[in-house]
Amino acid sequence: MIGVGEIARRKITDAKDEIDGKTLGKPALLVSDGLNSTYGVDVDIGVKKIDTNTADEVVVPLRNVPIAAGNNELIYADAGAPVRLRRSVTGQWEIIGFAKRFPGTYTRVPVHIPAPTLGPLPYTSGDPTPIGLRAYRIPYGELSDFGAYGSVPYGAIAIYRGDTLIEVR
Amino acid sequence: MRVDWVGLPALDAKRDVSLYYWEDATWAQCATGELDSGAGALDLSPLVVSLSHTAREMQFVLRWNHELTELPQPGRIVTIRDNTTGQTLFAAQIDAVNSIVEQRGMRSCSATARVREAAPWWRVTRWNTDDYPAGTEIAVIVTDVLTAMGLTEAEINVPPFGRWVPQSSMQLGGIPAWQMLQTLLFPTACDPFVDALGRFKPISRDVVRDADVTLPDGHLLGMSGSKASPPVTSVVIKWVDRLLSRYEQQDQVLGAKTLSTGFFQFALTEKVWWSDDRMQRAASTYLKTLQDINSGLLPVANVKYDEVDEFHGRLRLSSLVWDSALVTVAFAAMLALSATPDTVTVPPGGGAAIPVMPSGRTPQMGAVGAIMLAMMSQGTGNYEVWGTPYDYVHAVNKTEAYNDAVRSEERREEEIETDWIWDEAHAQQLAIIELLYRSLAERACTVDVADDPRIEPGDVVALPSGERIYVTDYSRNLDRGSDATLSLRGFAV
Repeated sequence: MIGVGEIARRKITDAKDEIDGKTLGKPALLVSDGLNSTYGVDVDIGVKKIDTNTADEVVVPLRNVPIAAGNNELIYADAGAPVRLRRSVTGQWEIIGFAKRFPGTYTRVPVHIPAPTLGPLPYTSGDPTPIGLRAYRIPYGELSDFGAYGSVPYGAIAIYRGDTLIEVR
Repeated sequence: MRVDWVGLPALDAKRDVSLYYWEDATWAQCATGELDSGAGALDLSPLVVSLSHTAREMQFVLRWNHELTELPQPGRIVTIRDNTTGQTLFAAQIDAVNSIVEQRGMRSCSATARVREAAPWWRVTRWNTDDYPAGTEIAVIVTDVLTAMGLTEAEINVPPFGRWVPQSSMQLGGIPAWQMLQTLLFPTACDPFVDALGRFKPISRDVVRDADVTLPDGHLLGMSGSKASPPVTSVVIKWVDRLLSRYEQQDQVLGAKTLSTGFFQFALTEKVWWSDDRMQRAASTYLKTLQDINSGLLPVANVKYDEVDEFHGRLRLSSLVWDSALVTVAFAAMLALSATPDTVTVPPGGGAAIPVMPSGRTPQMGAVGAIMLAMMSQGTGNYEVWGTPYDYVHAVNKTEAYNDAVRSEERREEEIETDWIWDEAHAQQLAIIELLYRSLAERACTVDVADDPRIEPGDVVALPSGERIYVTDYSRNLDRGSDATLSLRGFAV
């Protein structure tokens, strides 16, 4: 008889695959044993979660995804770089290289669907809401948009969800 | 809607049809109406015990004694002719002959015939299309696929969709023809459909359009319905943006070179590529000097760097020439001085040898020294080219249409991936159409109406009561003398 743990393990193994994502910052040192180092970075894979405060569905990134060993070029990836992620048999994602595609915009359109009545269906659609993540290095000319001179250093990265600024790092 | 059908059965009409079996007829003949008369066909009507068909399949049972010399053969076309109007009601290709019985005084069999696109030729065999450039109308590709499948112009009814190939080039490969048609028609919000006479046309999945057929009073005979699992509440279309996005990496070393020069050359040009495969792009490149080529005894060359294009740069090294000139002059001096005799002084009256004055060799050694200086002044420099690598990639966007009235525990999301979306507006329009179609399709219903041969799958039918249904299939009982009714399957819209 197969245990629940074994079933879960097999499910994860079966689901082993690769996806494309984009970095939301510059890779930074994640762990080190003093001799060897592992870098990690936040990666947007275009997948939602339900915001616990607002109950809205919003795209959130995978946090601190490790970069596979032997990928020096990946360490120099800048914010917004397309990367390839592979899921290991233990269910963890890691970045294995650059990709040719990456998650772009994510737009949600609410539609009100009434029960069918006489005549054409009187459905209505609301305003589209962009919820996709976007990260870019703030150009010199825009630094003052984020506070007084000096409060945001040159090279800082802005992260937007749709048109809403959610983070400066 | 079958627009070529003329004349509707009366409300209380009884069935009056013929079943024809064709040995050599083709679908092209069926499409052009050549089979309507039944001339040249074997009329099976007197042998028919039961006959019915749906939009995709025909079933009939035959019973005979000596009338048939051989059984109907799979692959042959059979047509049903409406004797009241003289038009072909439905045509199909025999797929299987079953229940073959022979007993004293009676032989019988049943047969199943299917529409032409049910054949493995359409559904199983895998094909490739040509490669189509960006901007090709999707109708052109659909027509090409159908032509390759053997359809003639009379059998193809594909209007321009106003949708085009969005990527640089597109080719469908390794999939059956029917799947190709489904893939191609998805961005147009249509499904592929072969009508009752074997003609191809797209049918719209838009459920909120005006009704195609409006039934008059008295034509609705009965209605039943059901509701299945929770309907789809959200449709996500994952599509590839046709516009490329530029992304950059951090400033880094793109390439390195070690250069040597000296008296032996006047100029040197070296290309520096940003990657081994020479495909990496970079911008804002500049030269970093790790070891200057002029860091030796004397300066020997000038180094200049140019960015040639986005893939590579060029290091140009030009000698200062003095060392080459010096070597040349010194060598000439050595040659000249080698002919200069040494001065010999002889004492008066002879005697012991007196040392020779090296009047030629001293300046000759000066020339050798000059050559050695030039040789020692060979320079070696290490250089790195830095810059910002970048590339162009495709964004994969998502557009979601969701029912805003459902509770979270009722959510059922479906994701559709396609490379055939033109822009965000197209994606939103398609997502809404798909959401409405898929969420309403769960509300299945069956409506019995007085027969109307114009009605086909894909039609929106307005009932006399004002309700509307989207037709996905129908069935028609054609037993001799039965009522001329039609059973529509679909969902309320």
